[in-house]
Amino acid sequence: MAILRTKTHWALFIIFLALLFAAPLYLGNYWLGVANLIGITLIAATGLNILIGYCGQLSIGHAGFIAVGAYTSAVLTNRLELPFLVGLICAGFTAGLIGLIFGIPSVRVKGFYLAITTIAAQFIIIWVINHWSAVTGGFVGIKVPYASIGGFVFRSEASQFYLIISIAVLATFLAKNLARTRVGRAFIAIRDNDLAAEVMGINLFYYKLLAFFIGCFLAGIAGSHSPTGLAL
Amino acid sequence: MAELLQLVITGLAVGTVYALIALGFVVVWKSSSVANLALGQLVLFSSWFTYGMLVQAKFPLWLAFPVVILFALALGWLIERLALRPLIAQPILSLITVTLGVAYFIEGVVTFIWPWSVAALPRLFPIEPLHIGTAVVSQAYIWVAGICLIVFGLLTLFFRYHKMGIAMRATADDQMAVQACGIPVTRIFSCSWMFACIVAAIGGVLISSIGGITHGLVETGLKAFSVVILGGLNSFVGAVVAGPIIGLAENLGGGYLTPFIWAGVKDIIPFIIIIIVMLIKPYGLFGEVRIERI
Repeated sequence: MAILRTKTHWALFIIFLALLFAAPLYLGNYWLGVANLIGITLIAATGLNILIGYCGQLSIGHAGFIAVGAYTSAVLTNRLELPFLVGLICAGFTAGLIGLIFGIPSVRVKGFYLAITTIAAQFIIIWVINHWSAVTGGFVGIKVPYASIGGFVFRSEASQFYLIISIAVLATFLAKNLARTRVGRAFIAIRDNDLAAEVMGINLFYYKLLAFFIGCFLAGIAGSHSPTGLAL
Repeated sequence: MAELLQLVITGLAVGTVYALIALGFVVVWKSSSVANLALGQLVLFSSWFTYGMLVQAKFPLWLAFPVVILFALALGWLIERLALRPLIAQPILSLITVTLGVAYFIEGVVTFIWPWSVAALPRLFPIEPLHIGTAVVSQAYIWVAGICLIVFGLLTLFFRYHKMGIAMRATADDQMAVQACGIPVTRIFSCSWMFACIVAAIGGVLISSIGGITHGLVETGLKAFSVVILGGLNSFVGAVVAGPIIGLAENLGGGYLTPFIWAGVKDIIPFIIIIIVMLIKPYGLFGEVRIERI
């Protein structure tokens, strides 16, 4: 079942994309800033939607993973002077790995207990960030240079808007597509009744951890777009 | 040796306050299966209100405390009525999220009314330190532990002999049977929320009399979570036993591990305990194991 089925779908979609990408023409700087925030939150929320909405793992500690992404990207672009795209991908993977580690309890506990575990995870992550001053600058933070791809520096709100919105559109498309694949259907099966899913042969351990990885990967990508090291 | 004894005593004292706050959580959980994520903020709000009464409005002690208790009752009733009553039959995630929303709302209201970040309550307990064995312990800790134990005793009596207490225990056991007996269950929900707010208020006042009113009170509420998780979500006895354990672990860990890891390890120990408990024994020490039937 395709995502865009009828000609009306396609037409509306193209019109929407056109309006979206033409936004800097009619939005002022302030609203572009707001739109950037919306875009960042959208990417993180898409990750969370995959985790909670599709796979049913209650995770309320997402802010911690966003912070991991933000700080990874900041450290890589600031301290090690790596290009922004490398920082972006590494931020995603680091957040995904940390999410994987804190997602291990999801194999043992469900529902409210998992929610409490993720709250605890968020506090532990933020505490480590605040205290590991050698790497993360402790409570003061790290100054992050503007994103730049191949020499083009994203200095204005409008250019950042394009970057963030493109990634947001991509992330939404990826998430929507995920639901149609085997992995997505496994997630939905786990959400609906995980014992039945296991009986059907879906490897719960693998798929739950995969859900955590994907959700936190997107959170890391969202985080790497966040501005200078703030304590989230 | 003196240091160990000191850490143990203060840890146990603070732990009993955690247990008190955790009891509020357990009551709400048992009677209505709602996870009260606003616990930390309730503690914060009550402590600030006490500050407002004692310092800003300059009420004398004997007047301020009943007012604080009334305030906690009113707050609990309001939260239950406005935020939770409309959501009675909804899935559990909605209820948890609503309490989360209430938590942030309360935090905003507190910052709005009392824009300072720290405050100190006037001295409620005598301050000459006691010498127990070789340890030197501030008297406040002993008073705090003593008051907590008295409150535990009162609560035990309330739940055993008072009509409302028995009704709350019955609702925790089997809601439908209680309804069949003609007891309005919504009133029981209100009562359990009011109860949670009262113990949060008492716990908050006790903790802020030791350490002042800061944003750390929210973390105290979160440590009450770890008490609940360790003791078992369903168990009063678990909360009372796990509270001192967590307080002890926190203090001993903070005292002995600080030279090795970064300072401030004390804050994070309860959360690490949560994760360890989740991996080893998810239902806690005294919780009842949920048997999942297909």
